Amino acid sequence: MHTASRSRLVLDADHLRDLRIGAGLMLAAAVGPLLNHGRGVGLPCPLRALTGVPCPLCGLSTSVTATAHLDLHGALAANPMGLVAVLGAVALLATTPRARQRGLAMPAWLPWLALAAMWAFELHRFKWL
Amino acid sequence: VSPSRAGFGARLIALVIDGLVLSLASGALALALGPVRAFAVVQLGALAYFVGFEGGPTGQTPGKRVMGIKVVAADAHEPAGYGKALIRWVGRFLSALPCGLGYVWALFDQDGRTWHDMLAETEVVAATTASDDLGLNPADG
Repeated sequence: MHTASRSRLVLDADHLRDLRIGAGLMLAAAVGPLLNHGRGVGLPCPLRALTGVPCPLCGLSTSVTATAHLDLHGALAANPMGLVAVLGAVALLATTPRARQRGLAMPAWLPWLALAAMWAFELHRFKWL
Repeated sequence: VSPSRAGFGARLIALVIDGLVLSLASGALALALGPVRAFAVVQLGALAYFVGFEGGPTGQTPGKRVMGIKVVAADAHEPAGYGKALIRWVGRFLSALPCGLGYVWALFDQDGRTWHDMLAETEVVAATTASDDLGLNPADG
């Protein structure tokens, strides 16, 4: 099972399977438009559409698609986490069954820090900070 | 014995199936009523669909039935009931608001719960039959 303590977040084999599904879908959505030379469809953010305030995930689909097109400048400008997400997805899909069985551990604060950093970046990008 | 947590893939496919069902209905309604009226009717229809099915005795929408998963009350692993299903429905909007972050949350949450699961105190688990509960499923060997 996935376990969490105050200091460590451990993703077990079941969670890594789920994450691999998410990673595969994300990469397919990013690479798919390459096949017809398109740039994909930008997904509108409901929070930003309603309030004008961006959410932490704003720019992520743009960033992931830009990364797939090797447009690193565009990816970093939209949301740097898109580049990290693509690299992480590729790494996750390349892991061996044995490695997945061992699970993945990280500091429990890391996802929260990443989320806060993403939100700060987007708020700055849209001139709220 | 607690039922096993439903996987993200199964939940996603179930949502796609339910979305297709509702999309077909909304398409037909849009032709008959016009887009504005159809939108209002579809929202009410989706409310009845999710609250009715997830709050019912099986806790399964047609999509969840196909994927063999169901919504239960997190505390008792019993049918969630219409009250929790209604809260869960409202919570779906909160989950969707920040680019679907509340849905993605299930990938990292200890119990695989979305924001609307947390709000309604529900979780999505594998649906088992009576024979499964008794260990009579031949697939179990």
